[in-house]
Amino acid sequence: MFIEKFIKKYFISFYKDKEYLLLTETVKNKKVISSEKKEFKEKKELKEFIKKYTEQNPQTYVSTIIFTLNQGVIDSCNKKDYLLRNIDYDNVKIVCIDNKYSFYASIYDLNKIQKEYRFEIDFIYSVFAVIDYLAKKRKNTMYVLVFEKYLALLAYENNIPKYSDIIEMEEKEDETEEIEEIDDIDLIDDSIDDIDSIENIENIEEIEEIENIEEKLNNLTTGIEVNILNFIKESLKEYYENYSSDFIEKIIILDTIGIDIEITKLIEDEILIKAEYQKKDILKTINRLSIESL
Amino acid sequence: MRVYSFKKPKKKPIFKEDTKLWLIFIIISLFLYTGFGVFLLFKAYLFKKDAKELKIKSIELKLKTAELNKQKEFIFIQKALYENIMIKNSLTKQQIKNLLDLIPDPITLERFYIDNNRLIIYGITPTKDIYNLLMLPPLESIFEKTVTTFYELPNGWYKFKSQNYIKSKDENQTK
Repeated sequence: MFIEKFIKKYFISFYKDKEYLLLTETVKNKKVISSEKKEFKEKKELKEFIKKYTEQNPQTYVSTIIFTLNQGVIDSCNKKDYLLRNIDYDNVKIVCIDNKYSFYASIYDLNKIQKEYRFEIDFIYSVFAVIDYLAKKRKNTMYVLVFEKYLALLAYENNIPKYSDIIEMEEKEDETEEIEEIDDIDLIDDSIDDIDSIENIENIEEIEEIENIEEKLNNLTTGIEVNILNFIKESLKEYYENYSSDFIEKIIILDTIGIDIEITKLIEDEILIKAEYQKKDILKTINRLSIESL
Repeated sequence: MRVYSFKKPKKKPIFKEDTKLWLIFIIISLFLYTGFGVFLLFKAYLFKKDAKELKIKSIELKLKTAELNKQKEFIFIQKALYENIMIKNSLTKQQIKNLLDLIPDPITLERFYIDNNRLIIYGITPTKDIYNLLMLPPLESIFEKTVTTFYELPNGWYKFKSQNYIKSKDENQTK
């Protein structure tokens, strides 16, 4: 409608990571003219905020993403292929993209989310759909979307997403315990070996290298990078075994929380696949998806 | 644009509920204002039309009044004339009656003319004396001038012609 160009629309995107994160954007003619970020500890606060906001501004569109495990991607839109993968076609909601691939989520989960928040949610996206929207390079590429509590992974063979997985990370434990856990990783073992041999090194460059490794070690104590590495490793194994024989050429980390950029080096060292780090504002992306689909 | 959402958004109202109410009230009041404005314009148009018609009517009535005034004046003149005639008639009647009363028994009246200021009597009298005694004095008392001529009949009686004048107003004025 012609008049819509002149009407302000309000877009709210939110999701629950560790806390409830929310972004409001005021949009006119598909351009963002102002935005505000909010964090809520309690669901009640979020509900109250959105309820008030939508009452004040009737032209408000609320969007969110789901982190449920009963969602994913399939390189087809056909019922047959769903049934082949043992997915109950009648109990999932499907979004077909270009008639080539589709995202699905359990209807039960979608209804649950609607019931859980009570206010009207206008757009619900699969977390993989957000990755797909952000994915520029697609040929044999693996994307990992990093949240505080979740890791979502989407692997493309050529230009079609073939494999998806999401995991919920456990709450962080004490740092000392984490360091003990890290001992399991080969890389850390190597690093520690290097540290042990400091005395034998006279070259300053070598010392610097060791310092870097020490830094890496410190970073790894946060735990999330380890989780990412493990997740990528497991996913790659699953991908090569059951989904594709093509090698993944690049791993792209989409970070929403601010992890260490060094993760790319760790991945390259550990998995021997090129890695790239991109910082992303998922709340903005969700709103952009909604703005463009209106 | 690819649609990624599992849900389609419902249509959103452009205005808040209370804004909607306000707008409805504003629209209704605007409608009433314009309606009233149109009504007033229409009324003004009708009044103007009536005023024009009334002006024409008033001119017509003025003309009619002038005509009626003329007629009235004419009627007044006629009335005055009529009254004048009536008075004159009654006077003449009275005069005739008086004249007839004047005529004594022995004298026979043949005919008479009454004019504005003149009375001519033709008649027969047995003798001149009877005329001079019985008829002349009252005539002389009424008229300024009385001229009588006698003509003797074979039987010895006299025909007479009595001309009596009242002085006319003009004459009075000249005197």
